[in-house]
Amino acid sequence: MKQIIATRLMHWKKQWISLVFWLLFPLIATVSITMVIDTLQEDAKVPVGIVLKEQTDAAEELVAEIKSAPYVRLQLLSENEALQELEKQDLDSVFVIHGGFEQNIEQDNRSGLITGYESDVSFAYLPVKEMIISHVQQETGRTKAAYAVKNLEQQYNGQEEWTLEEIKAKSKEIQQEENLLNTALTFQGTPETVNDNPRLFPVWNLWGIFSLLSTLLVFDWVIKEKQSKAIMRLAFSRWSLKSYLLQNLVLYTVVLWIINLLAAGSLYFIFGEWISPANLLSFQVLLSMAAFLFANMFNSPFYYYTMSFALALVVGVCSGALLPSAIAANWKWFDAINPLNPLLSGDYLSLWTAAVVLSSVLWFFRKEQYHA
Amino acid sequence: MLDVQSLSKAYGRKQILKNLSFSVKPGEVIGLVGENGAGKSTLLHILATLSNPTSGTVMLNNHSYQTSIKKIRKRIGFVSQDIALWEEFTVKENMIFFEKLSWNDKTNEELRQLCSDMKLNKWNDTVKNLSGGMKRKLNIAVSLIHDPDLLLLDEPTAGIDLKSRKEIGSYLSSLAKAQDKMIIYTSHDMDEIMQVCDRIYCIGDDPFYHEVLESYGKNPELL
Repeated sequence: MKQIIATRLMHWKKQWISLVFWLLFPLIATVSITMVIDTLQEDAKVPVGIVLKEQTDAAEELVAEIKSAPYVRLQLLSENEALQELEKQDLDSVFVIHGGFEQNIEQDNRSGLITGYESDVSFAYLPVKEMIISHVQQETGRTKAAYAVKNLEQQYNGQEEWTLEEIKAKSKEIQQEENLLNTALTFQGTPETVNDNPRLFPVWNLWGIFSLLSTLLVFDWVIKEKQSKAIMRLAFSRWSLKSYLLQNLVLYTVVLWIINLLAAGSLYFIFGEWISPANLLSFQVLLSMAAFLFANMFNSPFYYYTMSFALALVVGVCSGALLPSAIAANWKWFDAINPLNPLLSGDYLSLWTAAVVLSSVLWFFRKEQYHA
Repeated sequence: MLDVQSLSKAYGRKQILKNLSFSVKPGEVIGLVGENGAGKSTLLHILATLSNPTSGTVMLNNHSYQTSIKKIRKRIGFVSQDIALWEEFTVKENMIFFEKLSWNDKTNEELRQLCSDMKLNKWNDTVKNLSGGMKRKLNIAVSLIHDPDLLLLDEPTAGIDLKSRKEIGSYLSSLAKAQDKMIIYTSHDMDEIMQVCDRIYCIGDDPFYHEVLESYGKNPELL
């Protein structure tokens, strides 16, 4: 293997620019596309202005709640600025949280807490208003409940002596734990977690497609070297052609996996999306073997490149990465034929794994030929 | 010693080689001549283990081609008609690359000496920038890295200038004598064949080559 590494390094030295490009391509393409889409999604959100006239926990919680709405982009402004922007229609609507907001909530006083402004083209005003009303009701309800608990404690001579803040904090904790929006709901099948802020194109799906394309293009060495007259010399060398190709396959797989780990670290750092190294390794082994076998079917790099791009496009469409998730979710058989499924689901065995392993065995026992 | 007995090769119904028998002793340079399609390259491919005969036996240093192919390949150097090199590599890189894959370990100095012996001194030049003669010399030098006993050359001087042709011929001749190597060589250049080879085998039925060789005062052996 030492000699194979040495000879491979000699080849890489001659092609380092294209090699480095294709090795980094999946990461760069995934980051670029995801960032562009995130920016477009952010720009597509409805701009809503908030005027905060008091800096209390209750007011800030309300702001955080509005901010968490997936299709609202929040701007904190002064009242004058906000109203000017609303007039210019740079803001969809404006909500002013008045002073004494927290105190009024604690006193169960629900009127005059917030003033809302809308223009004749506003369309987020009503949903945001409903969200605020619901939040205010929730908070006043929480305060009422805290008083009720306190009264019960006094009535039954309780020893705990909870403060109102402790009771409210406990209430929030329970609410967080049992948040219905993120609870796994089950209906005659496996539970599925509801994600309230999904990406239009999932990061690992995109990376998987680019990684497939990059692996295919990196594996053009199989065609170039098999077609080279120099490869005939392997008949008179320490290694057979098969052994030479297989050792190089292992070497490429290891290098690609190391690059995948760097990509995983980067994607986690940038987007907070994680995947296990074992998952990446099994996916890379599958990809490398498939690309190796695929390249063995071609004599011309040009046809191989054309088919590689076509294949990546087909996989992109079939994998669900480029199809609306609602459509793909209805076709369960899609998962079975999806080549990215082993990566995304963490399953090491799939239809593709079986097909690639079987093809590899057939290739391995095929008769070796040298063309002088 | 190379010993070939009753060797035949046919592709389907087409008989290429028919019942050939000959032997080559260490230190001998054998020339193979014949018209195009007579079977010279086919014979070299069989002797290089790249193709199987339809019938007959071949033995190299008492090892049978049928039973000891791995041992036999270690003892064979094959120079094809094509330039079997990495074009984008330098002379040095090609020599090191194939040394890494070879059974024999050689130092860079030994590899450089091998090239110098062939009057190939452009050690750091890229192959694609070399002249045809230099490429041919490197093609032969790479085939000698593992010190083969039997060197098979299929038109090793095709398309190169007279000076390089002479240098290659005289190197092969001295290599066979100095290191007891067996060399089998095909060429269409009769002057070269006459200069380099100890014996000449003529393949095929065409009387033309017999007449030409007789005009040189040589009596070719028929195969």
